[in-house]
Amino acid sequence: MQDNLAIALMGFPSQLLPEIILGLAACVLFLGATWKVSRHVWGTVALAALVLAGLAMWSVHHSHTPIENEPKAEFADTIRFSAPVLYTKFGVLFKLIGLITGVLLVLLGWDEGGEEHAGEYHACLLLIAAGIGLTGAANDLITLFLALELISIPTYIVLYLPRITAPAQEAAMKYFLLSVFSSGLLLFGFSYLYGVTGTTNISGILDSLGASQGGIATRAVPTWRGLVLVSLVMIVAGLGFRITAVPFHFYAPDVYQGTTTVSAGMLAFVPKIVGFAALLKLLGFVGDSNGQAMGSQAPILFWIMAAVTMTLGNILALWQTNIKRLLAYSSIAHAGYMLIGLAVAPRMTGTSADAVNGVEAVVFYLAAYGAMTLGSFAVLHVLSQSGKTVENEDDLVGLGKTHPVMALVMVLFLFSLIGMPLTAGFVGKFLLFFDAMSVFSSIPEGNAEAVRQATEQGRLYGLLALIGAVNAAIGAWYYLRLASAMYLREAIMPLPAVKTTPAVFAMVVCAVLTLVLGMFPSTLLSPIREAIRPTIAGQAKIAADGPKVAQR
Amino acid sequence: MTLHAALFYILATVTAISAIGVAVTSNIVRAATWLLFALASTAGIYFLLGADFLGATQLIVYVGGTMILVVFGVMLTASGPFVNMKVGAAEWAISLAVGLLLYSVLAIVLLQIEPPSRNIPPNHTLLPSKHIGAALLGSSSSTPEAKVTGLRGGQFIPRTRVSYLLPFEIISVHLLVVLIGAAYLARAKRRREDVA
Repeated sequence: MQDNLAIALMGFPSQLLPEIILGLAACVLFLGATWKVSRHVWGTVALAALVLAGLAMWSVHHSHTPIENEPKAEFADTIRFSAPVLYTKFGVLFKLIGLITGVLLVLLGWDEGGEEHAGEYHACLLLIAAGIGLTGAANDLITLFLALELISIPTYIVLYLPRITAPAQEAAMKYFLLSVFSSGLLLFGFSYLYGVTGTTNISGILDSLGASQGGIATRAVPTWRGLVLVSLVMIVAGLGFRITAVPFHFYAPDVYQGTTTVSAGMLAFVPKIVGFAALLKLLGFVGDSNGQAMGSQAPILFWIMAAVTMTLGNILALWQTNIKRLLAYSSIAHAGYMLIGLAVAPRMTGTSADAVNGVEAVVFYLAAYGAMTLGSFAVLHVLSQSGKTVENEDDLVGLGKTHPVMALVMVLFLFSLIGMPLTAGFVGKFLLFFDAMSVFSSIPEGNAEAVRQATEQGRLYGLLALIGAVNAAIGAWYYLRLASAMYLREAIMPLPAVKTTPAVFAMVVCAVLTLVLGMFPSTLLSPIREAIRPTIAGQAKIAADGPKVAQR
Repeated sequence: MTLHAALFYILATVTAISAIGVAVTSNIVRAATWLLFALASTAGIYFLLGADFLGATQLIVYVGGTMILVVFGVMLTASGPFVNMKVGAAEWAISLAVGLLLYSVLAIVLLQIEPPSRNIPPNHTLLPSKHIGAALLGSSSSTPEAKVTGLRGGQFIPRTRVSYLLPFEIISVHLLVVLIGAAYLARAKRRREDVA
């Protein structure tokens, strides 16, 4: 066993090869930017680094076995309970998302800001991409926190560098202060979690909280429950800032409006995906536990947050005329839709293997949201490049006549944000709402009391799906208002012609992703399912513990 | 009352009073001084628990580094020698309410718990600082054999030979980025003055 451990732990840095490459490339850019000022050189280097990291990921894929496929159970357990980073399918998925996001951001940021800042700007983007991958791989509270900070700290610079004007500085400062505060809350929650379980290893924490036995603190001292709940609330608050869930959303509109279009697009997507990844990990939704580690109160908390977040986001978006503010509120609303998945997920264990569970829907929605929101910010960025900054709804007037292709692409992203069929947004919303509805149909056989309880819960989740559907309709109003401005109104001062830049390429990639995910969702859904679903041994364990869950 | 308990109560009282002092005083230099006492007595509590590495870090990083930074920050940015932060009555009321609410939640939760059972593994000793430092530099062989406690029914999985090199390296990248950010902040300020 000692030998196994030595091998396992000696091997861990090699699976981080993509992140290490990105980090080294960032250092090269930071250094190189001091002697050569050229956005094209550093943009190309950044792209090359991302491609190299992709190749490294491919080679790691061939030389490492994901922990789920490890044949020796004892060996797998040993690694799980001691390694600070794990090579899991979930991690691979997030590495891939991180690299794709990195490529899109580098392309979008190609012409961003002053040429003299290009090196540092791209270096920060590379570190952000590395941070996404590291968050997916983290298996320790310390690694997880550092991975999240590896995204936050470069983000401050990305917000600050491209536009040194008073509103942009205010936006960067506002984001900085609130982000630091939220990190503090997160650490406070982590410290309680460590105090209760005696370890910083996430697998160890989930195990000691009795994740696989259907509830909080079954194994630890029962009176410690309160401590776990305090840490749950603190962690959700800390990460809620990143995912712009409602009590922690208020910074989003001001920051998005103040900063540049590309930075706003990055802020809409990157913190959200890592925030949800960290939540999924910490609550035990990934792998062999059923997400009940932090107690049965967590779904109720997420239910309330989901309902409030999507309603508030959508209603406030109705009043906006600035497109960036509108997309900020839309980003809040979409965080609400994603929270439905977290609220539903613990109730979906024990349902048939074919059904999509909430967590899969959340991860799919995240990817879909990334494509459509980065895409719509990309359209605004491309339109703004030829001189006039496109910020307000009136700037888009008549776009359907003056820039037919751009208008068509924008409409595609807007339709996807609404959730029209054949786009990624439709599949994401469908999966989430369908999950919430199907809690009702998965009522277990059993005694009358359990059935009555399950029926009540089913109604509650049905109501959540209904709130979601009403919200989707409210959302359609303001997205369609933009579309109608583009097609039904005449332009008084048409925008200048669009220049072909790398950002156009990023926009096309987003559009293709939106369509492909909408028409062939299984291309992404089956890898997600493989990454999220527990191993066969784990499924048996959860099934055996199932009745206990129902009783609680 | 043992000496340990007596020392703990003294340190705890000093920490609490200083912390309240930080929040109550409106003079920023005074707040910094109160913070000095709060952080130093926290370090004392760490020493009392036998965590001398943590205590020393607390003294060096917080008392030594952060405090000096705060005072320097005040010195370089303040227009007069004594900056007073005016706090309105409404702000007082809100923050007092939030603080008391959080305090009561934490107090209730912490009063509920029983003291942890003393099932410390037999070979459990406190870590000498030297080993922690070596582990931070990547020497996994000097990591003491800690156990992951709290796992299935008394089963301890050995958590051996983890080097803290990875977190250490990630933090170095953080610091590099912070340095560059700070350099840009400082440079931008100078340029604006040039323009003006």
